[in-house]
Amino acid sequence: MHSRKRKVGLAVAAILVGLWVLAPLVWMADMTIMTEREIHTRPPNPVPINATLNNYYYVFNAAAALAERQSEGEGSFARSAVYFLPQIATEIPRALGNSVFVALCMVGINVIGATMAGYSFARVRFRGSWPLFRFTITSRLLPPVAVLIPFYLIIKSLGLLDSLFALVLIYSAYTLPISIWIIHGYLQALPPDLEEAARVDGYSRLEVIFNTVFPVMRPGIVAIGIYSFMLAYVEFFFAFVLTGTASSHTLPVIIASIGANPVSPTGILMAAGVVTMLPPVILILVFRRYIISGLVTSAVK
Amino acid sequence: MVRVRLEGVSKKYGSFLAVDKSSFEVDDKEFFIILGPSGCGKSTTLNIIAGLEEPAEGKIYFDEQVVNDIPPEKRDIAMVFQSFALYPNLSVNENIAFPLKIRKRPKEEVRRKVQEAAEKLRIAHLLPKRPYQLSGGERQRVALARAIVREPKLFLLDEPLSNIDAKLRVHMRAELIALQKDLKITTIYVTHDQVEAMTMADRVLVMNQGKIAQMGKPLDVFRKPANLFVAGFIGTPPMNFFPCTMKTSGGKTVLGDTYFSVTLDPARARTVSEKAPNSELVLGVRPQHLSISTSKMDGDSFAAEIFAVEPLGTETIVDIKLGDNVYKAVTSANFSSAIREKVWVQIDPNGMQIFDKKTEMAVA
Repeated sequence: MHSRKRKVGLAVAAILVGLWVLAPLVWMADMTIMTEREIHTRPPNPVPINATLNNYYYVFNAAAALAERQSEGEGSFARSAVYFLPQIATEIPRALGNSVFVALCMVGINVIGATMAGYSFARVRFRGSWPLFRFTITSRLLPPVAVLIPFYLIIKSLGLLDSLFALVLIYSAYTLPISIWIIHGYLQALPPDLEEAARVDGYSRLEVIFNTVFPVMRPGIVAIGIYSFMLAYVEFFFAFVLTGTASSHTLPVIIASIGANPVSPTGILMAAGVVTMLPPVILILVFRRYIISGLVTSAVK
Repeated sequence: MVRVRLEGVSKKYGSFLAVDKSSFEVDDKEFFIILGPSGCGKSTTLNIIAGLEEPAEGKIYFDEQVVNDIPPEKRDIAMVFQSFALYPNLSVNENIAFPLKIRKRPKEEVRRKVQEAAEKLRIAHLLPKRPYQLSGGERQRVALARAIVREPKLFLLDEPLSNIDAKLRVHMRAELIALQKDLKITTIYVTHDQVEAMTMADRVLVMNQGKIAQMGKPLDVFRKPANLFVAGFIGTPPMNFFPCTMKTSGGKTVLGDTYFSVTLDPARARTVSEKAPNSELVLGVRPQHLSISTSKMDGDSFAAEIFAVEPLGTETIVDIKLGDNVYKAVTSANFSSAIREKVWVQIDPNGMQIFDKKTEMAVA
């Protein structure tokens, strides 16, 4: 009886937490298929009467929306989403591309760079390894505000302002320490026996790293991949300061700019939000197995 | 299959000297055990032989060839680890086949050899399973099968029995001896368990703080320990140490202190006075060489007090108190006595080992 009550209680709690997390997202998705007029109806109507995908169309083709506004005439009080659409919305598709590109660069740099560095710090004895490791980790403790101006000046003197390469450089400096730390901790927990066994069984050092160590620590590698993707994908502060034009604007900058207008087109903004969510959601669905799995726990003991 | 020789091998970690100018030779087909407490440098020595660690100085020979610069994968050795180190992402079958597959042996040969090795260790029925599905003892067998499948010229075993339960360990000791004699492959085995060293080794090397304390056949090391460390490390219960001095009066030489004295035969007394004149000495006596009686015995017996009695069924260990020190004696299983009771203790003159207290080396 007692355990049954407990189960019911847990189920109720789980549902409440689920609602708490999902309700805003569902509401956001709901608004993307409404017309602007419907969104602002009082009382709100949860099920759209004239469901439309126009908002998604405008997200990817703001130019068309702006043209539509032109044809309706500035003077007329057109109650459509496009009425409040700022010019910068035309950059959304390009910014999405920029964001995904920078984030994927971070995944590549972290997966290759941090696993190599983490392995070296954890397994190779060399002079100065410990101070170097500590220095690498503590460099991450600097608050972004403290380094923003020096970074800006450095990037400027390198002639890299308003380029994606600048973002890649700075995000690397910010993600690599944590990634190296994660990989280092992962390897510390893994007895070196497995690698030594593989050495004796006939692998060279590099073969051991690629064929024995990497498969065992796949969950750790996936973890740093996702971590670095997310960090780069949502980063606003540096991107806002270092990017100037459409060629390097990332999504957070564009969405913030649209949202910063006194009146903004809610439907299009929500649709942009859903589109923004998609890349990380896809990434997590693909790698879900590794995020959950504890493959390593059964590795040695 | 191979003779292994180390010449002045040292290894340092920072300022810590893990192995200090070690030189020894392991004969072909020998079961050689390196024994010592944890941190004595025994595993480091094994890793140096495997090529997993580089020595700071010294040379390692396989037969007449110096192997210092040969990486582990080219040394034709197989190793078994305390943690078994099975590849978690591979099945038992793939684990055992691993060293053969790396060497690109033909498929048919791999299949046949894996089967043979698995049958030899009676794990053929486990081949499709994964390591996490196995018990400790089964994993141990898989690790052994992976080591023997390639028929290497040298086996290195690093505390292979430490991670399995006590009952299975006793069983595996016999299996390992039989396996080694059957395969006739030179084997170097590292352990901290002196029982394993005593029971399994052809020869044993005792290490302490990076140095070789003694090397020899297990029984010789047991009977004639070269120093206090070896004397105290090998044997259960451990050897008793009585601090004492040697005195001669009226043609009779006596070892003793305030609480006891034993007569030394003249030949031995001469050796002691030649090797360690006027030194403080330590008399080492194994618990089996102390006899205890409730009445005074003939010859040199001395009084002591019962401190504790530990009946083991097959024998009884009696702890006796002499001054502030407690010593252990092995008596027959039916010995019974009350704590604090006064007893008489006699030392078997054939079981006496005499050490110099300062140098800690055996004198006579």
